[in-house]
Amino acid sequence: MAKILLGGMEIEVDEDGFIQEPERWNKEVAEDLAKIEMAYPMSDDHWKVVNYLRNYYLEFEIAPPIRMLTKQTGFDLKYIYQLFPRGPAVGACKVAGLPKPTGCV
Amino acid sequence: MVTEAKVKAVEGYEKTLERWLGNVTKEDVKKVLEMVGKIDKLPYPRLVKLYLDLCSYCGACAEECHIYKTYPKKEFNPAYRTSLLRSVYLRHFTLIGKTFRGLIGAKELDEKMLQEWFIRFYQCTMCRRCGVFCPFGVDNMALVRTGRVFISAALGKTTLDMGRGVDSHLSLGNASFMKEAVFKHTVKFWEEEIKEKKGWEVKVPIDKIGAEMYLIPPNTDFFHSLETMEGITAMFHAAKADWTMSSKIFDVVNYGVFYDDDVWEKIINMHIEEAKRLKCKILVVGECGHALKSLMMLGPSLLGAFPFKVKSVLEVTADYIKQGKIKLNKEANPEPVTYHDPCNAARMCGIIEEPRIILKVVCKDFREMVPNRDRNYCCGGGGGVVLETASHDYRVEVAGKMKVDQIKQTGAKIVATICANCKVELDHLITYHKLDVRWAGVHDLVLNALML
Amino acid sequence: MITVLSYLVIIFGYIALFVFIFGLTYRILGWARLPTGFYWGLYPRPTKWTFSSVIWKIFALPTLFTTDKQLWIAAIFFHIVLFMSVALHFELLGVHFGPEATIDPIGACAGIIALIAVVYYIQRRLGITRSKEISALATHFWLWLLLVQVGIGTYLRAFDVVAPEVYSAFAISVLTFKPTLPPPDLWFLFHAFIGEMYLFYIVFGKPVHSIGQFFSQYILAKPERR
Ligand code: HEM
Ligand code: SF4
Ligand code: SF4
Repeated sequence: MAKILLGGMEIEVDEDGFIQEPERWNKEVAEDLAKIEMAYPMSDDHWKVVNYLRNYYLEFEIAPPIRMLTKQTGFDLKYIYQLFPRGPAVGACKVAGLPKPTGCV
Repeated sequence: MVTEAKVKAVEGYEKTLERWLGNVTKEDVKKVLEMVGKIDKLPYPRLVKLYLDLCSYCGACAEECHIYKTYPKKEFNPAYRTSLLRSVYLRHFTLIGKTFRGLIGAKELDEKMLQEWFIRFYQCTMCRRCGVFCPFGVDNMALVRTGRVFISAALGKTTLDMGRGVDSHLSLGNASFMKEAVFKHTVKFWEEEIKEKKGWEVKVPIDKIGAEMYLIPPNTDFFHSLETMEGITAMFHAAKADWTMSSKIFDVVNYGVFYDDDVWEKIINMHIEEAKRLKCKILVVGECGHALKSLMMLGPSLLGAFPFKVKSVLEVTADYIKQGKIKLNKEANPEPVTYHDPCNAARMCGIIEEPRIILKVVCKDFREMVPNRDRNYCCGGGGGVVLETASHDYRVEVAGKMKVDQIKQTGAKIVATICANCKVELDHLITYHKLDVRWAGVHDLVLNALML
Repeated sequence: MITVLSYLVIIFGYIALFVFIFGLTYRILGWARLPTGFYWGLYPRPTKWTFSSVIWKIFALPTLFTTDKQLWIAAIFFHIVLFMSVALHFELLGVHFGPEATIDPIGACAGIIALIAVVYYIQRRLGITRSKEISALATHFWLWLLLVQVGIGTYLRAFDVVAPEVYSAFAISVLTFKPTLPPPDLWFLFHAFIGEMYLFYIVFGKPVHSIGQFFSQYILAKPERR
């Protein structure tokens, strides 16, 4: 496992760049991750997605269904791909500091 | 044409695969070789032996492999891929191989060869299209899987995300680290969705002992294609079916199918045990290809007949349509729709006409892509390849390229399919190649068209 | 030279026949004794009549027809004339199919068609990348040797070099373990010797597909049982 510099901290990430220490996630970390995910600068819409994912994760320890995400944010999948070019699972979840979703996602 | 992007995509993934296998030692080689010597102990020894013996290296299969056609290099030739196993078998376990060696293509298993095995076997999408066209009936997929089984059984190595999925499966009963509370929360969400979209009060029966049908969808549908779950639920509701889901075993995927017999058996036993506990008459597999293969074909042939039937949800819906139990309105899906035959559903399990029966009554403009049915091309994500984040570029640039061209040719606006892996791959293909198309499960379209 | 070859043909003939009979039995049992296990059929599958569908797949090669029409034509013609010439070889055992005047031209024509087919096989292995890149040296060797063998055979037929009574007397003497010396013709001896080599090749090389196919196609075409 590698450590990389995010938001001024050394944070452990897995091999696809998902952070392994979710409790150390904060705004600056998210922005640095967004740079890697080609989602920088982050607009309000970016934050809406990230905050939703984050809150869901804190409650359920997992990523939400995409349908839930699109419904709660009001964005369709195409738009989410515009915000996060690598998509909701790899792009958005990474920026939101979630572990990588597994299983056909 | 082999573009620079393709070269980069392939090289990138090959490097990753090499890294995943890691350093191999002489000891590792010996362990794997021991497995090769025990071909007779495999659960399917006759065909492996035949396929090792019969290939004449005519090259017909290469002409039919979507990967070789997109990127004609030797290493992607299906017969080359399997020659890796064949040549080692010849060299170490046959007299003529020991005698004539390289002259007849026999090769020693060494560290380098083992690396080559790992890379080549995990690049194949196990779609079996080559097997359809071999004049001698040699099914390269069976050998590719066998090669993966050897490596997994001897060294415990597989690809990254597949391994993680299996870890999750063996500890939690599903491949996505999903707990019961999440499942129940998700169920509630899609019940509400149906209410909003259809105005129907629908409850998903959970853990109902003695229900006629026990539905197990692939877990992926919860995350990636919840509309499919809504469609299936609404369909059962409209048909007044007696069905249930389980709060424990709600994931039908079984990655063991792709690479390991022990894992396969452990996971399929979860499905069987839960079906027995629920005393269902029919285990209904949701929109999932490899799970159907596992439960419909491999399971009964190895573990003996089950005390329940196994059906695809497609068969159930198609039967309801034939019996007039559900009413559907074509006008709800006015856009042109095409259908992608998942390899595992079509070639392996013969779920070929059912989705067409359904699509023809739920959408106004249904178009076939060519080739189709049992001769379809793989989406590019089969054999567990789509599970890997790291395989993305390889999939969209090389393995799925034929599918992209096929979809374009139909001019359809929706490409429907019945496999969770295919849906993810189609999603990636459509986004990467900027197609003006969207993907859907067949039951997503059923949901739109259903009437009470 | 001729004497040496004569003895070689006799001695090697015994070895080859032995290996052919026992080797082939060994290989067939090798497949037959193993369980099929996993049910790995391919759709579309017949609901019944498996046997006829397997026969159709083996003798008409319908899928090869879709994939590679040239190879299909070559393979069909090659194997038809191959079976013809194998049948004609029963003259060795004294079986006669008709007057020499009609049989010899038929045999020679079969030989010429086989020659064309083998030339195509060779050309294909050298010219078509997807086949060339996976062929071992031995494959090429056997194909070229086949060319030589078929060439000599055709010549022997066409020019009636050795009379049928003569070579059948020789073959029967060998098979009844009272070997006499073969007819002293160099081409005949070469043909016999290479033919004996091919008995090995049939067992250990690619032509074992002639038997293995009945097993492999059956696995793929097992009838539906849903
Ligand atoms: C039972 C029916 C048989 C079928 C359906 C069959 C089919 C085929 C096919 C499709 C090929 C072309 C593939 C290739 O280029 O390798 C082929 C090649 C060949 N077959 Fe057969 N075969 C049969 C029986 C036999 C028998 C009995 C022999 C000889 C004893 C034989 C000898 C050969 C040889 C020497 C080749 C050329 C291989 C090469 O290209 O190097 N076959 N066969
Ligand atoms: S088509 Fe069959 S015999 Fe020909 S190279 Fe491929 S696997 Fe071998
Ligand atoms: S199984 Fe599919 S991907 Fe693999 S070699 Fe055959 S055609 Fe190619």
